Amino acid sequence: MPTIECSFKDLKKLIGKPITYTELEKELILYVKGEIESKERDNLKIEVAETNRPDLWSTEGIAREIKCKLGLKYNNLLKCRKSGLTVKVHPNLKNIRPRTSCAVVKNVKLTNEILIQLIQLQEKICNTFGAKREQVAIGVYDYNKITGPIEYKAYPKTHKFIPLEFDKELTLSQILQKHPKGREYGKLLEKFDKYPLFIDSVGQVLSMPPIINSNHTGKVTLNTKNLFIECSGFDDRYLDVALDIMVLALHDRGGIVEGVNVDYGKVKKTTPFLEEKSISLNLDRFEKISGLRISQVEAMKLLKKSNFIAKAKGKNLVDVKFQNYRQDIMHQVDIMEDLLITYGYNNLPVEELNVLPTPYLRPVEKWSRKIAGLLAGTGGIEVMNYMLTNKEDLQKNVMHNGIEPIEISNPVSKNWNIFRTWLIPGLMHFLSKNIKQEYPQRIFEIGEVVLPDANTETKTSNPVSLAFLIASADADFTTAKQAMQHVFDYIGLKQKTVETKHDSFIPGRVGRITCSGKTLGYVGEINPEVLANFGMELPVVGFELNLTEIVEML
Amino acid sequence: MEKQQDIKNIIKKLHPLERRVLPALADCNTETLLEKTTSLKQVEVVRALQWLYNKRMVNLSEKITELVELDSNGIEFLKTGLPEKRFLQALSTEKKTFSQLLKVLSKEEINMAIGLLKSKAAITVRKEEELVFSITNQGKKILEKGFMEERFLQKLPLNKNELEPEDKFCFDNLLKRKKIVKTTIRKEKIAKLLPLGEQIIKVGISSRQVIDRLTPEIIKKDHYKGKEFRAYDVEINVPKIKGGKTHPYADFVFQARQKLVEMGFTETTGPIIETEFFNFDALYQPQNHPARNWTDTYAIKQPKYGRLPDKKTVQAVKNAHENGAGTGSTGWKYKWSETIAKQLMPRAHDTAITPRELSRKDLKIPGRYFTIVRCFRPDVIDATHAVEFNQLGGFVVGDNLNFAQLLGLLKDFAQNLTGAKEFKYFPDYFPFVEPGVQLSAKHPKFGWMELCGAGIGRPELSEPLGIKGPVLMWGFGIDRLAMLKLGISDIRDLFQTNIKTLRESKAVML
Repeated sequence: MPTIECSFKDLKKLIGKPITYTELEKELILYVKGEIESKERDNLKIEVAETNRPDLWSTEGIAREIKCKLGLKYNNLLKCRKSGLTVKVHPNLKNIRPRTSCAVVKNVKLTNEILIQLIQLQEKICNTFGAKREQVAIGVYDYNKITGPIEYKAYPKTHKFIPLEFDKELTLSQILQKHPKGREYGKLLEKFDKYPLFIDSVGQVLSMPPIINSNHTGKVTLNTKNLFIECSGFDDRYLDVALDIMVLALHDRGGIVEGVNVDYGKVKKTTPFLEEKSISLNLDRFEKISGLRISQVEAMKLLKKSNFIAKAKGKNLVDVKFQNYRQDIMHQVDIMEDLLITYGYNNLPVEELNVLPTPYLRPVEKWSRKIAGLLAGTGGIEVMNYMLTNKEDLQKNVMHNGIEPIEISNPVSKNWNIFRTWLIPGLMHFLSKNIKQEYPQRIFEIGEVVLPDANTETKTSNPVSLAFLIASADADFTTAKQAMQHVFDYIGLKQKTVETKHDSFIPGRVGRITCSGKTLGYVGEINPEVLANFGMELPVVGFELNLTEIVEML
Repeated sequence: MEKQQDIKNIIKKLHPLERRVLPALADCNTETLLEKTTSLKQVEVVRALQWLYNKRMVNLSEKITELVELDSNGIEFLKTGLPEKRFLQALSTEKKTFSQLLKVLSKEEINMAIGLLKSKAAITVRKEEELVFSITNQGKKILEKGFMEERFLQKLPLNKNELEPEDKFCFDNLLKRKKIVKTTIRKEKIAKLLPLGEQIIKVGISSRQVIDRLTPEIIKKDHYKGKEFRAYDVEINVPKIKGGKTHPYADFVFQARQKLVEMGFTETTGPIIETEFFNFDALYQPQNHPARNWTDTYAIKQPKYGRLPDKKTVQAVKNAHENGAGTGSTGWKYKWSETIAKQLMPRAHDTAITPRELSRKDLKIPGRYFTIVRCFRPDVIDATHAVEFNQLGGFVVGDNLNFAQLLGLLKDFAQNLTGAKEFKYFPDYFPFVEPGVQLSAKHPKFGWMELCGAGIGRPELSEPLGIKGPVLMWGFGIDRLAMLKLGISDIRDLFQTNIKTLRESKAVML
């Protein structure tokens, strides 16, 4: 979830009404689903839970929301005039990065704070909403240094320009290798033989999206008066939203927003899009969902405070208007939430649940705890391991039970790259971590395992397994079978142990546990080769059972 | 001064050893003397003294003495006699040759005795074919009188600094000889009676026999009748029991299950390896869209694809994504892919189970449902993030449900799971609900904490699955609550790998 840094002073200035820090922290910040993470003098770090509302990821966005909630006047719908600038998009970008949405913002009185916010908003949108620049990359330029029209086109890798914060020209492929941003985002381009460039009519390179701006036109300072902004990517749905949010923030700072013609040849488009949308709010439905009855007038008042334009429609409907940047609104429930937030969650009616109780606990859970109690009574210490484990414990240590484990294709650690197929390897691992502790060690675990199973919807099944190990100088097959028999006697089932082979156990000292013709598990003495692999110097014996199968037999 | 009654109580608790040592302290004060007086073993005397000291009946100091003790040969000679004595005894009836003497003495002993006895003029030696020894009158006198060295050995151990002149002479002589005597440093406890000890002796420890350990014999034969039991010090620290234990975190998770059942919920579960369909699509999370990236997820190598539910459900979900499926929503407006939905992945959140249950033909409606399951995410591991963790979540389905009832349910959770009396609702965002709410509760012990996220399932989620009215959805970060309850600050310690910690674990009560 995005964390926004902002100046409290700046925030108050944008809201346009003096507020105290306590008011902000206890009440106002909740309107943006925010939480103040830290405050250092004037600097606030605000965590915004709305991962689906990039319009809130700046001081301007937070201030806009609070301003409306406080009932202060805000110009809800942004309009823009024309700049006359054209950006021609070349068809050779088709598979590389084919779309762009652009705008010009004039008369911006840039201050340090505005500049910091502009960069922060740009980064947050690109990283979170723009999937680390893949879906959306944003460039901001000094408009006065650009001579229109601008062309957006793919160029050979040998083309040169001076990238931001460099003092000499580099070829496009050099930028990918040498510039820090090139190394960070280069993977988005490197598979293509040409790279996209914005170039003005006198041949100046503006930028190579989604990597880096040029050091000349792409450098914005406190002296910059007029800005050119472009968003590049693949899908106008994201680009238009990103651009609308950028220009909206600058508009809140007093900038004048102007449209740009984006020319795709046959198709032309003017951006920023600033599309107006509307949804009908049904007050009966609202009451049904929220449990709150409000009048049409009250609803309109609350909607206005929620930064919507609301118009009464008939007796029970309200027509709600908003702009394209509120891309999160798809259904009237989205409007309802904003209305409820403005009303105040803690002022809402609280009712008893209108559904009769349906208490039920799965038998396997009940039996798991019963048996855990039984085994603890025999001196067993219960262990809980991760279900994710690693190939080494399973294979190198001769703990393979013949079942191919499900393997993770993008592990973050080699300690966790497969799902366990039985519990004994995890318990052996546990024993190996406690070699210096007091013996005997009697440990057990009850938990799910993951087995391939072609018959199920998910091609896997997750029976609950039960395993018990005893590490002791005098542990032998009898010790293990006694413990296993103890479990069966307790639950009232008869088992039969038959001779079998299993690499993890000593040949001739391992039995397959069966009941009514079904294999339920194994009991035996762990093979010394396995013990040596785990660094164990004491005999280890034990058993493992499929508890899910057992419970089904009861 | 203690009262008479108290003194009697104290006497009642005296251990049999204390009962014997304490009175003896009236006459003697060193370990050695006490050993002799009480006929107890040294360790018993020392234990009794230590206990008496703990009870402030005596003060203890330590005296270091150098003792003269028998060495290995000395112990032997004390039994068999000194070699020179045996030498003279052998000659007392008749003269003996060297080889004859070898039958009663070793060669070494003979050689040693010759020198010693000659210097005392106790024997004469003649050289014939071999050496022949005979006893002199002086020798006979010595034999009659006995050897003073032997008398000395019998007196050992003695304090080296307190030797009589004659003993000192013997000691010096014997020390020159092989392993007859040795000196050792001995630390000895010296006890001094304190007023309490003196008082007890004055009152007198009854010599009446008290029962110490109750044995089957005593019970069977009625030996306890009319007898007194020694009273024990009930405040004493005792050694710990080493027993088996269930895992505190497993106990916690089960208690959470029981709580939910007590609150009228039905337990459900779902597969660990899940289709993207239930993990995301059926929750109205768009494919290839930033909105689906709210969490990183694991992928698996094989098998790649699972099976989707019935065609009608799949089509309805597809429509919801593409055009809102007549729910009044715009939908995400893109081409939905069945192939992506079929992909298998480790379950990333407990909520994957909700659409699975909602789409079941035999789901009981109305009903309250919950699940506690392991979830998997490729997070960077630290004190608050694990790649594997438990989540508790669920849903309520039925007629006429609304947000007000959801708030009521959350209030019940706060009270039942934390005992909180104060709580607050915060607007929050979860990608599949609208409106979304978070409940923070003031835990009586741990203060304000985020407890539960909840909301009403979006219509694009519930309607395609055949559910008409609002579905109340909620979920807990149960690991956080567990960490607080178990007093753990690192999430990795929930899955403790140290057996000692588990052996010493405390009971958990949710």
